Amino acid sequence: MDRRFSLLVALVFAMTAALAFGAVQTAMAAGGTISGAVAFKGDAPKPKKLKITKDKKACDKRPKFDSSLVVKDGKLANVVVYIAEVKGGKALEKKAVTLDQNGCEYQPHVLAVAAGADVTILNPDKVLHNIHTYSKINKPMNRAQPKFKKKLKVKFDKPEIMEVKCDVHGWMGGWIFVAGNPYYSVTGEDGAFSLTDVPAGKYQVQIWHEKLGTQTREVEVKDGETAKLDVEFAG
Amino acid sequence: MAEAEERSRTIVVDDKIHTWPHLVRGEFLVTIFVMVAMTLWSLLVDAPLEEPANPARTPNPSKAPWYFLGLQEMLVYFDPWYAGVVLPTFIIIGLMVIPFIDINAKGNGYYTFKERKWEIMTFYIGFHILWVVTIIIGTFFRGPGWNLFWPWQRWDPHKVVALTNVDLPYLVGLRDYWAQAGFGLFLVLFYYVFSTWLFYKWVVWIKGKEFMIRWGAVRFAITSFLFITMIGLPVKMFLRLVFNIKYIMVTPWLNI
Amino acid sequence: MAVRGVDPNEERKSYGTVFFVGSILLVVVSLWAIFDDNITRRVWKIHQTEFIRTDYERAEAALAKEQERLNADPKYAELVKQRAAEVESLESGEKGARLAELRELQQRVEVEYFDADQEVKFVKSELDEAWYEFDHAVQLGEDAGPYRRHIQELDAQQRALEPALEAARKKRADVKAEIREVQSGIKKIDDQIYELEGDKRKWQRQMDNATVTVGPEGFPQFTLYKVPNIHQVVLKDFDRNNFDQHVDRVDRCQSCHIGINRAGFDDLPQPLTTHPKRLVFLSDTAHPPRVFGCTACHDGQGEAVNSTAQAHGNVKFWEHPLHEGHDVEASCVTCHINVQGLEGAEVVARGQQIFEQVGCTGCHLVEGYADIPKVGPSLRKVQAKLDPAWMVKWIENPREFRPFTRMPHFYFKEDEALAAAAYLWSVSEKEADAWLKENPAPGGYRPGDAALVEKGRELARSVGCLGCHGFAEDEFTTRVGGKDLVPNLKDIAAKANPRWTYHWLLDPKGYNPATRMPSLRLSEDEALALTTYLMTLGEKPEPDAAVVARLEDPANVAKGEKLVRKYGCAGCHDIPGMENESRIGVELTTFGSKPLEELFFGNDTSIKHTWKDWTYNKILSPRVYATERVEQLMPHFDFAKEDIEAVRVLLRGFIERKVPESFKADHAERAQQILAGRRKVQEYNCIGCHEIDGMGGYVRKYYEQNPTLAPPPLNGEGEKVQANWLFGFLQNPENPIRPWLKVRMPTFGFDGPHADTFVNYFAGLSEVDIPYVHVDEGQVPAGYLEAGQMLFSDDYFECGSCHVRGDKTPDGPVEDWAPDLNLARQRLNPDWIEKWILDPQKLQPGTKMPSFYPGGPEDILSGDEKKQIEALTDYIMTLGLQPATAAKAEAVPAAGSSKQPAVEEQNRQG
Repeated sequence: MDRRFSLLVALVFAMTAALAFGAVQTAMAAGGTISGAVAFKGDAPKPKKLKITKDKKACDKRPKFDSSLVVKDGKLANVVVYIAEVKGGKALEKKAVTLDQNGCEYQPHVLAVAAGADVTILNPDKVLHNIHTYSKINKPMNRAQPKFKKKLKVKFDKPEIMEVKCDVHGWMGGWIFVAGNPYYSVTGEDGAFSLTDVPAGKYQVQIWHEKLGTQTREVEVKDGETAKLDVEFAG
Repeated sequence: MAEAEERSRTIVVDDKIHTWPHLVRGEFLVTIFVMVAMTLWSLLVDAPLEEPANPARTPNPSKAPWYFLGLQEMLVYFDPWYAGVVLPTFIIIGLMVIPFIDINAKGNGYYTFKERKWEIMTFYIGFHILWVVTIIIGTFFRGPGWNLFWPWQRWDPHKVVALTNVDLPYLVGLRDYWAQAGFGLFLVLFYYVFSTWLFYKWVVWIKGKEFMIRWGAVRFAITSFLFITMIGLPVKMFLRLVFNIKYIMVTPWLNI
Repeated sequence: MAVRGVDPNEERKSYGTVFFVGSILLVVVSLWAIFDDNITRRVWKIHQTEFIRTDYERAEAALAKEQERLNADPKYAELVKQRAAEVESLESGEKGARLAELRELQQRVEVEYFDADQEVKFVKSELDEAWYEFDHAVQLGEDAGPYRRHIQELDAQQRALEPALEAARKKRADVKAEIREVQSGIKKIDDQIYELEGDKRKWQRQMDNATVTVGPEGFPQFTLYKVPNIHQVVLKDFDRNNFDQHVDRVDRCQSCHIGINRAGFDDLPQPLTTHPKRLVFLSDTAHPPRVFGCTACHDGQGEAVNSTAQAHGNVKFWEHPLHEGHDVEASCVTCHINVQGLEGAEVVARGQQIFEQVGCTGCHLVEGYADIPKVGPSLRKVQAKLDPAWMVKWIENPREFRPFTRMPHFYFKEDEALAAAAYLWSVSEKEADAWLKENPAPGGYRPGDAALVEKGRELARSVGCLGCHGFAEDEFTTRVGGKDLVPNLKDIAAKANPRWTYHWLLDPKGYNPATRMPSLRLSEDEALALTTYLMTLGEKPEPDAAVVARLEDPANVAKGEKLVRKYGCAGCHDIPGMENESRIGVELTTFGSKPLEELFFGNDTSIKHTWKDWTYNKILSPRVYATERVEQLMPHFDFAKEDIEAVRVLLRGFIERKVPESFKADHAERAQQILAGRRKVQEYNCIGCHEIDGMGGYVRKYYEQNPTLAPPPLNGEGEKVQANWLFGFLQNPENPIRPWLKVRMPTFGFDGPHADTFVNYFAGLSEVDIPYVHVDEGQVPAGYLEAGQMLFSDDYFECGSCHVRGDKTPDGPVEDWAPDLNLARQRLNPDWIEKWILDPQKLQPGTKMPSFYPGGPEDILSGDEKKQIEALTDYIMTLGLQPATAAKAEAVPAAGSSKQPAVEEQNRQG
């Protein structure tokens, strides 16, 4: 009688512990991560120096180079890594971002922003700029930003990758990536990217570069694990 | 007893019936069936409306109403004056004249074929055969251009039929206009004279000399003229269809 | 002697069976007749009932859903609760009690009022009597004193009673007001509920419209589905019968197509479905069915309702059966003179373009298309231009040399082609010789010179030739019906000689005064370079003396003349001696009405005997109906299937029926202007370079890298530029608005009336009146010019950063510049400038000009954006004036007009 009773207690205890552990485990294992680096194979051509033909006072403060292909130590910068379609997962945080035109150059060269989030465009140069987006899905925009308008707020409602140019200063060019879900990342000079809290499953990951095109990789994500993804672009 | 005697002595022909109810019920039956037939017809066959009338576009074929199709058909064989005026006038005159030339007292008010064979046959030839058949031909066998088509054939508005009819005087070799006219006139007269003689012989043969005397010359003349004229119709049709003869007689006043 | 007796057997005969059979038959047949009449021949009833039922059921479902949604809406639920509470209160609660109280009070107060009122009324009545007595006494000459006293007494009485009456009245009004107040609560709630229930009422209305309530008042009533009935539209005097009398047209189509003008039934099958693009076709500004019926566009037998076949006119003798598919667009041309750009008429518009542009009117006369100029080039001086052997080969088979030429294939044999060429060769000799005398061979022409060829090639691709011509197999701009409107020059050396080419480039009108080809204002060096380049395209032919000898043989010339006359070449080409030749083809003005018996199908048994098939096959292969005895002259055009069908739809629209003016679309002057202008625009191929009214601009494909180097789009040009400027510009386009453009607007040499046509065309498209100019110099408000100048300056909008101003050019490369604003004064409409500044992307999507508004500075004109735009416009309109004059214009507004001569002088450069 006593033995059976203590056995019962032990069983109940064990079950509770297992349940508790399982609960904790489930709570901890909220999705996986996809991370890696984008490399460039071969010799990168030296980026061309941009000729500043206008408003030299404001725009020629520092030398500017063509940012369409930025390679450092074999790693490719300004690559957008994203998952086009994902079901579930974390909510899209509409974080406000900034696009700066300091010195007649778009910083960052590739801007990533969530759909519906505020984009503040800065014009600290004392010259006229205009933001002309060549978008097909979102309504194309061509807004002037005269010198007295230091800040301009815009929004993009639909996911798209669009080029943005300035008509006043023909050398200025950049890209805006509008994300539909929070799984996107723009590589820096180290070519590294990381998509976190991805729900488990198989995904088509898009790796986009403005000049070298788009590559697609199928990645399987498991809870609590990091899927390593290394992509290489050739020149 | 006396009645029965009366009856046995006299010849009794029991072929009458009372109007009411026997005749009337018969008529009523017929009415019913006629109504059934008409209703069925109206349910199954819609009124034959054609295109809206267009004075700029004559229909082809342009057909007269059915009761005149007989005349229209006759126009194929005869000159319009003859087929459209002379013959219809004779038809009407003939019908009007019947009470005066008909001296056969038998067959009045009762059906008999035996007693009135000739009269009925003449009417048959004239009406059922000549008149009705021409109507049937005109309705079902004539198509665009008044060409002959079988009733089941498609009406081809572009059908071309060779026309190679010649006048009889021309056919026999005459080329002078007046000679042709004279010849034609001679033929027609000959036809009438010869046929009258034939007709005389025939009537005497079927009705007897005594009848002919009773009938008299005037009645004989009228009847023979009308009868021969009527028979002239199928004769001419035959000549036309078989020998391609257009006219027997061509004069400035009348072509036959 | 026979005695006729009565047949005794007759009455024994029984016809009972016969009667029985006959009666049964009669009953059956009669029942069948009733059934046939009411059901079999009234198919429309079935359709209508089905629709009414569906209509009701959908409304019912939608109502239920709406009610659910309302019930779920917290605001509505709250209101309903409040209302219930109010009702409860009114009926049995606090408000009810108060109401009852008030009503009781009201009754009492009414009685009081009535009493008081009556008293006063009686006194008044007595007063009337007293006054009568008084007047009577006065008139009789009696003593009026007592009467007067009586009156005064009564007066006093009345005055004494008045306060009481007033008090009673007030009390009555008060009580009424209070009652209303008590009831107002529910009224407010009801009003709010009413607002929320908008959609619900809509569905309720739809349900009510589909039903009918029968039964007398006060007795139980039945709600039944609406009884179907015939819906008809009578178009007064729409038709003319064959006796040229006006008759009404009756359309009963909507008896079956009951849902055609009801939104939301697109998913139902025919005949219950909604009309496709209902709002485009059936709106009140387009063709509402109650005015136009249905058969005006769709044909068919509108009066018939007994069966689908009858109603659609697919019965033996109905001459206008229902149009199938795109054929319905054929009806558009009956009422609209402008079908180009008309929504829903795309197929017939394409057919019309092909018909006009590819040359059908050269052989076929059609009313309304008789003025279209000849589409082929002039053959007057052809001996000076063409290689003789080439000419023969071309006439024999044009598409072998130029696959996309408009010239059709006549299937001539070689000797026939040669004969025709011989005739043309001989008949053009005189004028060719005269021209050759005036136009010697160019000095300095060196065939194949590499430098010249390269220069020529660059010129050809940059100066504007590409707007019309292609120089390689896959290059083309405007194609209609799959045919190039302007010849492709890839083999030009095989056809033309350098001497002709040189002079043609310098002055096309010198060779052919009626040519469409404009002058590109080439210098002699440029022309030489271009000629050298062009002469490298294709193989130059070897001179063939044998061919020339045959061409000069008079027998061939005579034979050729007969051929040229027979095949009607003069319908498309200007041939000396054949200027007055008439068109050799059949007149097609009423071709769509041609009856089947009049169409000749030849010996081909594979073609179905219908108008549609005849026409399709005729255009597909024009000599298909030729027989041994019947010749067919029409040449072969080689159209694609869709193009043939488009032309066929247009031909279907060429009918005898004339629609009364009251039913036609607006054919005001503007429509005529657009029609005339569009034809001219297509003839001169303006759309090869410019996008006009949303179409064309084909040359822009060569400028994808940098669209600013392309010819500008001209959408909305009528509204944008001043009419007199455009008039002058079209006749003389030398002064560049956009100095960075290498491509040149050619000089077409338009005369006044021509230029007028274009100006009116643009004005018509933009729906503006001519002259459209509103430059009122004296009315600039104070301070505007200053404000405008500030906005323009580098401190604010920096317009000069991109825009050229006369001699002042912006920094940076030429591709980044914007048009010269010194020209604005004479060229642009100030109203348009304001619109442009407000939203340039709307007027010209994709333009480099950015939107500055909303977003004007706060410190100019108090931040009022409208005023800022006006000020900026005013300032721009003064650009190009000397500064002194400009300042004077600001200071002395009213004297603006007197400054005009000086202003004009300054502006001659613009």
